[in-house]
Amino acid sequence: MEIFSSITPGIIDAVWLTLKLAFITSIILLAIALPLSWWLANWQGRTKPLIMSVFALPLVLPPTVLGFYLLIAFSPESPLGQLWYNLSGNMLVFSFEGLVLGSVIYSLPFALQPLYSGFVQLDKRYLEIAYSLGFSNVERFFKIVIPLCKAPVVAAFGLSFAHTIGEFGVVLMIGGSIPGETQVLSIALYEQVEALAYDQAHVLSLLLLVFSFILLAALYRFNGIAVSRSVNRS
Amino acid sequence: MKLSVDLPGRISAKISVGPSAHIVGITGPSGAGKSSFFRALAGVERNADVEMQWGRTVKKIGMVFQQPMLFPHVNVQGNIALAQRHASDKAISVERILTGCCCTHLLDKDVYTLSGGEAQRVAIARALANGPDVLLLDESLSAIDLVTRRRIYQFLKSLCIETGLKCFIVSHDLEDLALFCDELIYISDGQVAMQGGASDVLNTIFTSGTIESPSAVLEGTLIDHREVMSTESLTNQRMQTDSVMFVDVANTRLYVSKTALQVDSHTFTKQPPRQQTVRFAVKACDVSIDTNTSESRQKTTSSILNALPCKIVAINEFECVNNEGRSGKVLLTLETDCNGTIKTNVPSNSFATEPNPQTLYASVSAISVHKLSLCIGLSVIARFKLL
Repeated sequence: MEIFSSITPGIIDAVWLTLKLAFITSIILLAIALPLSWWLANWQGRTKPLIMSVFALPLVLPPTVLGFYLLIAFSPESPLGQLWYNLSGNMLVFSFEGLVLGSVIYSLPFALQPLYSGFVQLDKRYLEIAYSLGFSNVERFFKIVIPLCKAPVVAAFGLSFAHTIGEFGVVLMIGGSIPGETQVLSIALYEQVEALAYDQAHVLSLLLLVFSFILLAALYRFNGIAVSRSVNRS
Repeated sequence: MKLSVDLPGRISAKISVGPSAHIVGITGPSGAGKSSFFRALAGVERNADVEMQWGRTVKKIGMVFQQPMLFPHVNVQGNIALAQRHASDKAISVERILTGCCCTHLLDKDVYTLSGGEAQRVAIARALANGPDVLLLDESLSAIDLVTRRRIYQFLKSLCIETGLKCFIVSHDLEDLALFCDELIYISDGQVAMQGGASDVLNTIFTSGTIESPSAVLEGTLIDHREVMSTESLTNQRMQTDSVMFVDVANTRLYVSKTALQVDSHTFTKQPPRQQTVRFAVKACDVSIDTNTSESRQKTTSSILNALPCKIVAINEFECVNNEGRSGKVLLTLETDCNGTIKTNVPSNSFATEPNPQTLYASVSAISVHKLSLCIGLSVIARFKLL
């Protein structure tokens, strides 16, 4: 009961903001990563390693480095920040929209890699059969490729979601800690610890821990079923 | 129809097929380029230079691989339904396709529960449900049992005759090709080595010695059961079995297992009508040679009842077909001899009074050739089991 009494409106706001950010980011990432990874999986240009490295950079860069560059890029003086200001009348830095854009860039490899692996491993003869049955390219992608790559698609969404929920460095650099606007769970937790409010820090940590565990367990469970089905097929 | 395929490093083939050919067989050693040829025709090889003159409108080319490649995210019914999305007007009813491909009972099954043969049957049904003008089958029946496989071939042949569908079939089973193909193409090292009528091409392949036990296809007419029963006094109930059919080949009565018979323009499952033309394959290794052609042999003392008068037209001694040196085997090419000594009570209404000679092969040992003094032109009796 003590734990529940520690859940303040500020925490509820942070939870809601985090889930909203993760959901919107994951949806945008799927929309970007699906065609991008399909193109990468079917393209064999000389510069492919370089392109792949650029997309994978967020995996290895310290989040603060990426956050610093994004902060520069989103500032009102930069072309992007200026364009955004002209379009919306708001600044991109320290805004929810800026957080979404930063999260999409930061979590891109987590959506791209499972989809790319799934598409590379997909037996292209399924597509050749679909072609011989009269399917267009778009139909083949949505009627054959996506259903056959259900597990990588779910993994891409799940990993993007989980990674966005857990992000800290980038969010802190470009979003700061504005309650209800940019203060996500991980930032709220940091603030509580700074303020020595350990009860609330426990609640936030527990929430993140349980949620992350459930999400990963569900992903592994889904992938396990998909793998056992493909083993049965072969 | 004329087809030309050029795929650098894999195949360069030009073939010409007569307009009356319904089923065209393609064979040759593994890695010869047969599958590449099919993939180029189907339009899935981007680097291939393909010219196709079908001699008629061809809008859809269906393709079935050796691996059935059924879409695993839907069941059998779902696979058929996906094929129907863009089906042409030519597509026949799904019920008939499923019956013809022996997979009606599989409709509600998940794809990953099917056996290899079942999946191949569904894959062929799926391709047919799309209503192709040309169907390319790349060893697509290799995992199907013999009886079902021949039923499906029979169904495909009747479909070709009825709808104008053209089938191209890659197979290593020369007996199947001999039974069902009108024309045959032999591809070797990415080139067309032989092409023409199936029997001519097969004869060249068999006599070249590369096939250890070739098969010949004999054609004949069915003889009425009751007539045979009365003339041969087969009154015992056990002898009156439907599993053995009586076939007149070159004025000689043969006893053939029903499952070995292929009936033109009728489905296999139906009882073949009387006087129907039928075909069946005879393996060279199943044929033995008897030089005693006298009338007395009609009262046979052998359990092998089929005795076909023939003349030896060629003797081919195979060289080193296995690792143990000379095989010691000799392939005899025989032609049916209508003036042979064994006569049967062929029904008077039979049209087969002056039949064309048919080719048969016999694989015998070199010792037998020497002991029996077998030579070209010699009249012999070819004995074989067909049960």
